[in-house]
Amino acid sequence: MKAPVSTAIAIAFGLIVLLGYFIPLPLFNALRDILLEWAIVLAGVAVFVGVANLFLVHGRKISRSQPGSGYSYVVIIAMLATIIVAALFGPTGYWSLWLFKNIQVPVETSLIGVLAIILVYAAARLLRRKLNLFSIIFFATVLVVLLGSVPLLGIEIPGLHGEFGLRSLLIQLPAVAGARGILLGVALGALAAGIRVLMGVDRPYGG
Amino acid sequence: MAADMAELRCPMCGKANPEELDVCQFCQARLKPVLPSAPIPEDEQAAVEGSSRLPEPAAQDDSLSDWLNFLRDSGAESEGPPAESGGEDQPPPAGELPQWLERTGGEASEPVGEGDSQDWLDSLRKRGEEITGPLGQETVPEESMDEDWPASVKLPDQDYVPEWLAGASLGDQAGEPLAEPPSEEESSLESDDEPDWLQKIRLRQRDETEESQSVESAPAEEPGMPDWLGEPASGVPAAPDEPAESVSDWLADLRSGGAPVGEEVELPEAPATGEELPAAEQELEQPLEETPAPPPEILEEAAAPVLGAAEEIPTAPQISDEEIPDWLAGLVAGKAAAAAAGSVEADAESLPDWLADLDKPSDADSGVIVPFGEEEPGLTFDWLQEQVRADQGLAVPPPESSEAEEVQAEKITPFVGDLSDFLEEEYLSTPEGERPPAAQPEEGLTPAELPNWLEAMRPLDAAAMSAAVLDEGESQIESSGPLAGLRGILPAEPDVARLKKPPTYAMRLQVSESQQANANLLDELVKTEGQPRAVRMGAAITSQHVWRLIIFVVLIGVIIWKALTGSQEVALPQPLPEILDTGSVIGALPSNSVVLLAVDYEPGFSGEMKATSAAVIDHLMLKGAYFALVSTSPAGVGLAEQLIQDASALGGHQYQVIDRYANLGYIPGGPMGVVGFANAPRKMTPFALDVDSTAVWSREPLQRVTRLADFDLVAVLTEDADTARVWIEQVQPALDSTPLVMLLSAQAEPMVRPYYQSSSNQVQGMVAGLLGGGSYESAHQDLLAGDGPARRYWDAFSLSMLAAVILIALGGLVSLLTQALASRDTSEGEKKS
Repeated sequence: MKAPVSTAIAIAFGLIVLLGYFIPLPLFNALRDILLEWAIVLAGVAVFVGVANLFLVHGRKISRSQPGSGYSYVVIIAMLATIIVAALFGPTGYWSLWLFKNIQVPVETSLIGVLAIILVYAAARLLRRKLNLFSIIFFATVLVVLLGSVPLLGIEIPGLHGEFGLRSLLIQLPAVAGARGILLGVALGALAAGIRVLMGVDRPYGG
Repeated sequence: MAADMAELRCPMCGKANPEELDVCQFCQARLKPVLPSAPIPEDEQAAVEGSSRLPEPAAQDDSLSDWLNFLRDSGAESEGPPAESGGEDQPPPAGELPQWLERTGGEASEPVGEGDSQDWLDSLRKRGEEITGPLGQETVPEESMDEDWPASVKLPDQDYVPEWLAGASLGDQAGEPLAEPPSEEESSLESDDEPDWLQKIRLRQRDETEESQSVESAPAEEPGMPDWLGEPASGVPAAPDEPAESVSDWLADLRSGGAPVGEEVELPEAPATGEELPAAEQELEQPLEETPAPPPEILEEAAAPVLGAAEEIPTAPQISDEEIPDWLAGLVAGKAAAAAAGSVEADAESLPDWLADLDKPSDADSGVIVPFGEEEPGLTFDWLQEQVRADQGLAVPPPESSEAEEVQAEKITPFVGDLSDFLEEEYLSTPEGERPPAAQPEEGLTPAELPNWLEAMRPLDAAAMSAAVLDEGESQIESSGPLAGLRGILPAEPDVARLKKPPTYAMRLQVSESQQANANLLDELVKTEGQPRAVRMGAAITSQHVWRLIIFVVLIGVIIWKALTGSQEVALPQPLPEILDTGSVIGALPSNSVVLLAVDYEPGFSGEMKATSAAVIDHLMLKGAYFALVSTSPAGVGLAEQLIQDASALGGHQYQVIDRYANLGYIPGGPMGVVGFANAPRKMTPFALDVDSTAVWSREPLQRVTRLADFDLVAVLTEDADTARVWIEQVQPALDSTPLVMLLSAQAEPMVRPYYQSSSNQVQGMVAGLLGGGSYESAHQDLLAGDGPARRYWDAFSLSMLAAVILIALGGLVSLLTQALASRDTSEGEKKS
């Protein structure tokens, strides 16, 4: 009983939204907007549910004194402090922005910085892990793009730098071609997935 | 039974076959014996007799016991076809005796077959002439004995009239129940498979036993005849006018060696010559001299069940009174007269020995109730089997086992009061030392050869296994049923039905070594699956750590050095086309334009995005644009706020919230939120996040903005290609002529460039990464006073990039050299090997 009902609802709403794009009737537009609003509201509520779940998980971990509960203390304290500050001073208040600017941004920025070192190390060991034609091509491409990104000691090498340099050529031809192919594939896949959902074949909603 | 009579049962497979077939249609065994045209030679007689012990074709009456069929056929000189199946269950014509009766030596007016069936009777006659012994002091000469006549056959007294004959003479006796229904005790002792007539015999015997106890002197030579011999079918009363003398006459003739007493009785022809008789049959004559005659009462009583059995035999011929031959009627009348006149002794004397043996008191006469199956063991056909076996040259069975001896001692016989009594009684009464030796093949006689039809029925490897089979059969004596006491009988009960101790099975599971090994392996795998594996603690510092440390030191060293020195020696890159287009778009904006700024990047990319977008935002600020900040990520609100404040501070602009920008906040739902915002921006973000003033849509300049196309410019800041694609695909259709500019991270540039370079021109401008920001600053030197973030980061960025390239190249070279050396060592090692 549960599966057919949810499937019917999903198909009906999907068709209504789709028809709103093809049939420029005010009724369909209105229905589409209403359904979208409902979806956006549900997505917003889902954020609250996620926050609540996070709070419960870490709270349970603290209550059971499980290993790693110290980090749960930090999470809950930070969450509560941010909520309190934002509630008091607003999301764009001074202290709210201060917490964001001096805690969240540096933490995440440092993680991205470590990534740079990891990527360089991985590129250096690429040929050791796998030595074949495609790995060599990839290795060479990386070097060309990196070198063509910046002038070498302030000197732009003709043929490498510039609008018609090797770097621009690699980016605009093979990279763009590949990107276009990927985008087309993604679009077709999304289209097929949407049709399958509208037909009831796929039921990602758990029906 | 009628249907059975129209079919022949294959002796091998037991399946029904049409009567007209000679060979079984299933197993190709012969159904009908071969009819020899010539007299059967001596050496084959034994084989014939022995083969006659085998299950006979179904042409014969199945209901009759084998001994009866044997006796019937034994008198035939040639293996003629068995009693015509059509005639067995049909009453013979009027005036004719039934075939089975005719064979018993009745009036030979209708000889059965070619007169061959009366050979046995002839032999009886001859024997009766020569028999001397307890019965009639007559002995049967060996040469006059029929081939197939057992050695222990004893003719009854001459004057003995069997009861069945006496009973048949009285018409009112035909339908009388000749035997009382067996009591429960008797029935319990009897086999379930025992025919009723046999049961009646037992009852009669028991009754006779009781009666004989009151008889002081039971004449040992009372006349008597086997029940089967004179007892006709039911409803066949003997002719009362038939003088008993006729019956007694032929019986007396048998005893006296052919001297007729009274009216002559034509007996069945004896074999032409005694030479045709097998030697075994000749030897059977000897015990006749010593076999006492059974008491007439016993024979009479024994005849009664036979009568009754005959009644139950559906195939027994129905003989009317008119059909009873004179001699047979005379037998019955004579018996009755003799019994009435008390001339039993005289009759007994006149009867042949073998008939007189029937009067011999048996266990039933003595009052001993012998359970069925436990009769005298001597009254079995073991001697017949031995004889046949000897004739055939088969191995003589070993001495009887203890069980067999016990059985023999108990004198178990399958029959009580039937023909076998007078046949074997004398043999059993004879001491072992006086008993004739086992029949040995005489010199000059060739071993018995099986006839063709019998040979065809013989199963494969029977010759090889016959000995073993016979050995097994010899050691097993049937202890119950109508064949009790016989050897070589197929067990009535299958082995599975016999009570025996069930095999004891070990409770332990029988597992082979390989199976046990596999099971142990699987058990270990399952156990180890749930157990945490101990992580090997490697070295604290490995080459990987070293290399990372080196890379870190190099990169961070360059950056710190350049940052500390503040050098700006490296020139900014030349403007790229997308940079120029972005500048053109922004330059074409009117003053006090309203720009939608979507900040959708993660806080970790804020440094790059700041360097990428600082010049563009400053350019927009210089144009006096009003920023409407939105974000589809929760952290975008703070990033947007910070971005504007940093750009304002960097460019020296006094951008205050509400006056110069409005932070509309977070749009949930991802792509759905973007679509909703594109369709109805006011509905999706009705309030600003400013505490002081939230109703920005009612204030200038957002008051004139009702839809997304009302914005003068839409700029999207993101580091993710998918987010960029969502904004492009969902928002751009609603923008109409409003330009869309993408401010991206370097990693998202390849996926957004197709939208910029496509003919649809969905993206009008694009600034990607630090290179794009530096190029934009290079194109607009007046922006940020020429000292924007890109300018400050460019030297360090270029130098660190060069260092990274060098490190990567060095690593690649090292990897190539390492592998080359390893392969060379491997090849050298292979060459050496």
